[in-house]
Amino acid sequence: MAINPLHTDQLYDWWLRALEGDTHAFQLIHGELFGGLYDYALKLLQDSELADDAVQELFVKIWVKRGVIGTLRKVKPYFFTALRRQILNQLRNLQLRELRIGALPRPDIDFSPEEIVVRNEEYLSLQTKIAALLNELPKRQKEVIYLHYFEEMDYAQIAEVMGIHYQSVLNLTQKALQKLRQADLLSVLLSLSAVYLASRT
Amino acid sequence: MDDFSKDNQEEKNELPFGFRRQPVDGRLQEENWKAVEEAIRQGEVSPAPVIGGEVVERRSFRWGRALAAAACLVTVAVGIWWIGTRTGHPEYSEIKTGYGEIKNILLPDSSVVILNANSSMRIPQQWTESGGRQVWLEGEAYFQVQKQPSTVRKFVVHTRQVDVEVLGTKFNVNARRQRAVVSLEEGKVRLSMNGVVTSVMEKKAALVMRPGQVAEVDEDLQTKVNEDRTIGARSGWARHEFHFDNTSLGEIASMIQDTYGYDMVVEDSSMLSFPISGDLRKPELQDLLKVLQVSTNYTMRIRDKTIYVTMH
Repeated sequence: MAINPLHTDQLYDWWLRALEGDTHAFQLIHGELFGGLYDYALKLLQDSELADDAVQELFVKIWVKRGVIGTLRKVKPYFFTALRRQILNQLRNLQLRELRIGALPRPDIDFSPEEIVVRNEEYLSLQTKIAALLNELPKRQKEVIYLHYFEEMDYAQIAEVMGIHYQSVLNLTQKALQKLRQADLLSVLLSLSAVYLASRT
Repeated sequence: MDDFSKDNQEEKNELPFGFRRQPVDGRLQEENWKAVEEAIRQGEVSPAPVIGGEVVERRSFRWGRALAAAACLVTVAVGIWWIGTRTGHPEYSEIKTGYGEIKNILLPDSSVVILNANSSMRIPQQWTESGGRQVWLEGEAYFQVQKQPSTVRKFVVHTRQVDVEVLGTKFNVNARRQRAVVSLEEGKVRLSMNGVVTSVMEKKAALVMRPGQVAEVDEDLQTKVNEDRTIGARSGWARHEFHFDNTSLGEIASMIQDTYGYDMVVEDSSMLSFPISGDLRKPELQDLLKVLQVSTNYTMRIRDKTIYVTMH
């Protein structure tokens, strides 16, 4: 899923066909982007049904408005941007309406241990700790990390999706990485795997 | 774009762990596409700017999770009852809900209506300039009306007792049991009582509501206006939520009768005043009764669409 030129060109090509009313091409876009969009929606909404509905709504809306959207070079970032905006609106409406009812959901990414790969499989328990560490990061840092590592977006694309400056993305990433590196846990993790490797040889 | 993907790689190597994406669920993707495709097709097939298509939830009582209605407006369109009237009259489509059923309706102007159980709404088939935006409601509905430039006619909800005139807003109308209760969440609406003839009276009878207000108009067009700090709870049903705040068992019994079609019979009428507080999500009648039994300590049994409430 790397952003290679071919990949973007293909999406671009499908988008042009969709613009002319080709639902099959639109389906191909859906097939290509669904996984990423769904995961992203799930991260933001933390509810699989809501995430499913959100992606569905996104595609219907984009199809309906495709004439207005017109030619689109960066198809994938566009879909992610639109999805993010839609979800934020949804959460905002919810907040307005539910001022007095219970806790409010916030767009906050939550990493799970299953998503963390530790080099050394013996230390699986560390996955939980790493996930917890990631989840302690400020919301925007988490989102940058997520889009960068999971969606393999470059900084310019992340800036577009999150609606912030390119430089802000760099700063957020730097801060997040710094915090992760500083964390004692990681040095423990590194030394543990070193010890383990040493004992095996 | 290419030079950015380079620093992409560099950053990735700096972390002593990697990330793994959960594999995409093929069936989930397929179903999601099917729903999209269906919605798209409905959009293309439906004749001209007729009613935007009635939209129902894909799985009943499913998205309840406190979700804004708009998020679910995608989904399947179902058949609409077209009611032809005599020549010269506009044609209406009527949308009805049965007991325990809630429907989402997308109007041609993109306004959203969530129609509560045991209710019906009549909508002109064509929304013409002269006709304006009007709907006729029996029962209960929650409205999110799209703002329009002032040149466009106002949005009007007609009920037996009162007409609610709207400028882009969110509000709930409960027109059950010979009265109308309008709760305004956002924006501004004007109520004009029906049956008032003279124009002078009409002006007096009109009432402009502010957000947070609840207006109750009874059979004799007597109007009571109250502030409700938990106004959002009035439309809780639209999110499949019940919100009880010192609500009497009697009031809940009326609600159950209105939305589920079950009567409640109590052993002793004093039981009807039992106050109940609490929030409930995605309730089926069974769940609701379970909660009521626990909080009241009464025993409730269902027989022949009737709930029998006893002390033990």
